[in-house]
Amino acid sequence: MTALLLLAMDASTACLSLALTRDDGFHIEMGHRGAKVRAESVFAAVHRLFQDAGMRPAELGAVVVGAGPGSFTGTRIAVAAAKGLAYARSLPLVAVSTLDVLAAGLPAPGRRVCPLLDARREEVYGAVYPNPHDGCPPGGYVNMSLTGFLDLLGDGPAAFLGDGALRNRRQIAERLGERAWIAAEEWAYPRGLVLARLGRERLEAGETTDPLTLVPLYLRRSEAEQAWLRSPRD
Amino acid sequence: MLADLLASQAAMHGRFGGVVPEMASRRHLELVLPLIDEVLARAGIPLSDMSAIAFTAGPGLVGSLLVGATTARALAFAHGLPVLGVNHLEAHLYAHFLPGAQTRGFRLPAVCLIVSGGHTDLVLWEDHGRLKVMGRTRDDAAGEAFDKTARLLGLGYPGGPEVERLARQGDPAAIPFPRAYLDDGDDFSFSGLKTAVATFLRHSGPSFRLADVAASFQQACVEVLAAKLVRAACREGVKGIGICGGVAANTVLRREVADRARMAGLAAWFPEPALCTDNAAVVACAAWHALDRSVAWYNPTVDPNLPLGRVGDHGDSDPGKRGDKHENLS
Repeated sequence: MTALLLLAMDASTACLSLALTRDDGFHIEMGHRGAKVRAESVFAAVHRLFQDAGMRPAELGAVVVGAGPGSFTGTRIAVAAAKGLAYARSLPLVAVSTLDVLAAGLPAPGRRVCPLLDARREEVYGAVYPNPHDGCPPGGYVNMSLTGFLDLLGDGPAAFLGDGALRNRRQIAERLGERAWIAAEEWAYPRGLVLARLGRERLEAGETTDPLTLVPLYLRRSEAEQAWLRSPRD
Repeated sequence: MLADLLASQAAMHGRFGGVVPEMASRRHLELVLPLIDEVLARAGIPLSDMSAIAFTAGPGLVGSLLVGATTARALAFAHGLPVLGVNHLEAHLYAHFLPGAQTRGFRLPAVCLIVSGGHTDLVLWEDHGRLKVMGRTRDDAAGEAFDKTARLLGLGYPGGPEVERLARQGDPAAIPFPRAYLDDGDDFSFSGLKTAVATFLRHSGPSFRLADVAASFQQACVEVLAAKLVRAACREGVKGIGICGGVAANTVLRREVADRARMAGLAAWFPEPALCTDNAAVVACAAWHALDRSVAWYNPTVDPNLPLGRVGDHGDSDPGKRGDKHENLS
């Protein structure tokens, strides 16, 4: 039996993260921060990854995608790319929350981990992981104000990471003092290899998803829809 | 044509009076693969047997364009197929090359009118890949005028079919709404007409019939469209004219164009109404003709403001510089 080749993609933050891994230990990883993530840049990067690996798309065995929350457009591009690839080659597809990837990227934090993504409008996307290596957060994924999130978290020590943590580092420090540890910028974006590892674990656990029906984890409606829901109707 | 499917979101956006970009992008992502799956099943041909995959590169809403472009690239990458970006407006023109009761014998050159909710373009279509935009709207597109008038009349969205339905019971000569000929140039203007409808409704009291307003508005609109189309064709010396885009499904416009073409001794072609509104068959047809003249291997980017006659790779129109089949993996 040949080793399973797995492609991992995440474009839900300011960083386009990709990895191509095989379960015999081979891997190539890419992280592009700053360039605008577009359809063509994702496939230019995927193409490069395959070229560098000397492999063909036909050898692919599974696709893993960071399904958000995060940038609506960025997440959608990665999810559309993953859905299309998995559908076209009838491959197993695994969707992993970008927050899970961030949390699992922190080695042995020894305390609760709180990945926070900047959701604009003074809000964050976040989750609380008592132990990030135990899988999904028991409290689920939330979209709320930073204050609301910190209220929910309580006073115990916690590790923060993500662009939402960096952006709000002062408020977090004011609130929690030395009980807050904020990870440096290189931990702030989802890593392709971490996504690939979580994807492989979930693939082995049979947690695959249907490419025809997978949708991103948006956590928030469009602004027009929110306004419409708020407005009085007959 | 082996199979042609469409999933419209018009009902979802109707309550907002227009397309909500983020909602449209989300819905497209949900719909695109199931629709591709079904169209392949109906055609009975596997994806891997395709010669190329085409998508709309623009103009349009960027979020929606990206869903199509990414999906097309993913499918193409998976099977090593060429991927081809098509100009949305050029695709509309290719409705003339699809089978229909009133497109038989369509030939280039022709002068065509692309008339929809976002565009009103008068195009001299000399040959495949050779287009000249002669005139366009300076303000509202004709379809936009229909949508806004529909809203003023308390009708639903999209406004075109609703206005046409109501107008059937009205007198098109009841109200002399203005016709903007703009010094007989090839450009259009419809915001004055829309304002005239609004002003009329505000000031004329309850003594008029809404159906007369709809019919009179529609008549003012289609007269200008048809007159400018026919005049431009005569001036350019082409023998045929055509109309496409969503508003080209309007039967009153079709009749007006047919009448004026007959008087001017021109042949007039009318694509099937279902192929006038947005659809994928015209995208495939435009791509097929681009492949045919082997200038197709762009490596296109999406562009929400893509002008007619241009596809992707801005400024690089030299066919020799475009990627070959293999480079299109990227």
